[in-house]
Amino acid sequence: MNPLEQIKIIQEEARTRVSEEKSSYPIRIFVGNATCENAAGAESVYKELQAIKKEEKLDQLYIGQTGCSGRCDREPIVQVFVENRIPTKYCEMTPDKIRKVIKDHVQNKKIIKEWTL
Amino acid sequence: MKEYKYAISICAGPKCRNKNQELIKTLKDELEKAKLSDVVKVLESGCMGYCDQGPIMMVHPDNVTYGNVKKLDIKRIVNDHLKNKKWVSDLILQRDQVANSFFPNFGDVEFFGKQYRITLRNCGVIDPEAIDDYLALRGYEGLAKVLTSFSPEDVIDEMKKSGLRGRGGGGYPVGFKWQNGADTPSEEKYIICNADEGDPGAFMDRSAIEGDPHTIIEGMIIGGYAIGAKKGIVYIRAEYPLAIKRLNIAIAQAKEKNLLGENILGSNFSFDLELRLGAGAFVCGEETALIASIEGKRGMPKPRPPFPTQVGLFGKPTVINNVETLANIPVIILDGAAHFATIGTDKSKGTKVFALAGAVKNTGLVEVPMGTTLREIIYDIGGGISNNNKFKAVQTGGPSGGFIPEKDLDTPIDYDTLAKAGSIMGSGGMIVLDENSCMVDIAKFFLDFTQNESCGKCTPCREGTKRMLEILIRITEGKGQAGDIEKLERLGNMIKKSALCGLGKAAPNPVLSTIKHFRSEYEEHINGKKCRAGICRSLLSYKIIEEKCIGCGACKRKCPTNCISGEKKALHIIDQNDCIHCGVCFETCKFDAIIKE
Repeated sequence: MNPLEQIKIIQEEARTRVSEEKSSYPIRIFVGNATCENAAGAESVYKELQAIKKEEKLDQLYIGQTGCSGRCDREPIVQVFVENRIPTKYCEMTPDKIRKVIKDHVQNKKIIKEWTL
Repeated sequence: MKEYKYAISICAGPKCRNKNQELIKTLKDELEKAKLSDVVKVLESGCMGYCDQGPIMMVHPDNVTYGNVKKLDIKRIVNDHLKNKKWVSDLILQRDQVANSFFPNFGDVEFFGKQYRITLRNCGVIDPEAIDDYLALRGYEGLAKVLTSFSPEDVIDEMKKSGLRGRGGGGYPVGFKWQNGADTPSEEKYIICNADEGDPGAFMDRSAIEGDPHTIIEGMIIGGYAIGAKKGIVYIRAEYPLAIKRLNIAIAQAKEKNLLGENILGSNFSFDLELRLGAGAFVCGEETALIASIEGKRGMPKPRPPFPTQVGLFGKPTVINNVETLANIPVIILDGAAHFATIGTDKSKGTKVFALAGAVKNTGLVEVPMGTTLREIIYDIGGGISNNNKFKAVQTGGPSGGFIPEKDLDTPIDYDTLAKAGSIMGSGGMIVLDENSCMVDIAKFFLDFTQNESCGKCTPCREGTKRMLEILIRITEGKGQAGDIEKLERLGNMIKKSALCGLGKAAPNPVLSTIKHFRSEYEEHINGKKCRAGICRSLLSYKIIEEKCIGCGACKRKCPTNCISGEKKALHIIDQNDCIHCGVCFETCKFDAIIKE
């Protein structure tokens, strides 16, 4: 098998893993995680999310991380994906704000427009 | 059987069928007009479930979903997306499951609309610590393609055809650099990734590594294959702990999957990668100083030739590429040099990442095709000047670059036009200055930086920049003398001609270009003892306006030299002889009764 055929198989396996892992969670939230995002407070948002997940027993919630998307002045940026709904990016997040996002956006299906990017 | 390039599915569920028939007809007509009907298949699909966003169109294999598509939008989708492979970003709803596990950069049309992301394509989209995410988005396919069907010469040819030029500052064509490295015979060769990002205000390389470390690794392995190097080194600043951590994770993951190490993917090619941490000396971003630093010597440049591609690290042929340059390589291999060469301008191909900072509304990392104008970056992507202030100049290229005034804002950016405008592309720092910036002070800031970072090896840079800095300090302190501007010009041009390395040669640039475009400000400082932006403190005087002062005494209490006098509820006065121009009273006054002039 040549390298190209090999990588196709490796990629396909990765794709299956990624989509299976992620689509088994209907709610997926990604927190920007880079030096700049962390300086803006992304780490505390990430920790708060984990705490919320535990408190509210949100088993369908996947918490992931991404690098910097380039919107420095609006960091920390949190991307919220709920199955069958329009994905939304929230910016300038804080632990308090992320709580409201979970409550309004995820649980009550109401987008908080003022906070979106 | 016909081979289709694209398939478009349009929702034809029971709710939308009638409504969408017209749309489908328009689409077919447009495809006919664009001569694409042979390669694009139009499908009518079932209800996709986004009825409130309908009509919906999905484009495969890009897995882009467009929503609220109107008749007039069809033409844009056909022309932009299908013909020119540029997605119509303001209509994008989302992308399919796999792609949707990641987040496309949409939703912020103003900021992302004019961007074209090649090197940053995965930044902010994938999890940088998961190799699966990278692999799922065609990761390491470029490498596999090279190992399967490219000879090293083919790779170099491909780079030459693509027209890719080094993104670290110099702009040397990558294909030719690799050719030089490949042509020098040696058992041992090295490829080095220069991640010693030192310009003040620049953070492109850090973000690229933190967001997508595998791209750089893949680019390095391909480069190693092309020049015949078995060993790669990433020279990265120790101040970037997160980037270092992610690179280490990525290297370990790649090794585990046999994408790095012995006999990569079962081929004959072996390549190993390690990190070397730099202590953050600006000069170590210069090729020869960087090599000295890795060798364990003091980071000082050497005269060239010999170039590192002939005599480099430990005396062996060495190719050094910048982070952004390397991030382009997998994409060039995947999409082909011909495609890459269609992006950008005549002599500068592809895209460039800029760290947009300073007095603009939207600061951030932007990646635009070469040929985009400065005005588009600052006003469209950057959203204009913050606080509705007036634009004064934009600084590109960091401490080695120059300033571009308003009249040159419509210059399409590439290596040559920026050089013509008196600046450089540099590594991609872009600082926007508004009317509240003093050009003399900014020039002093940059020169202070290069003077601090001067390694001291050659006299022009060590002594010359010091003398220039002294003159600038003198001017900003109100002690400027007639002839100072000419002295600065003479010294600057001398350093430019005689310094040993690129950093020294470029050190006077900020001063020379501010003199060129803003000479009158220098003259005001020297002759009128005035700083029109109100930045140079020694040239300011603070005064209290009689009508506005209510005599609250707040300024009097805060003044460190007790030079403000006045009775309660009566006008206060600043004694100009004792005033040290610290500005505390100005900041303290709640009634705007204190002005600086």
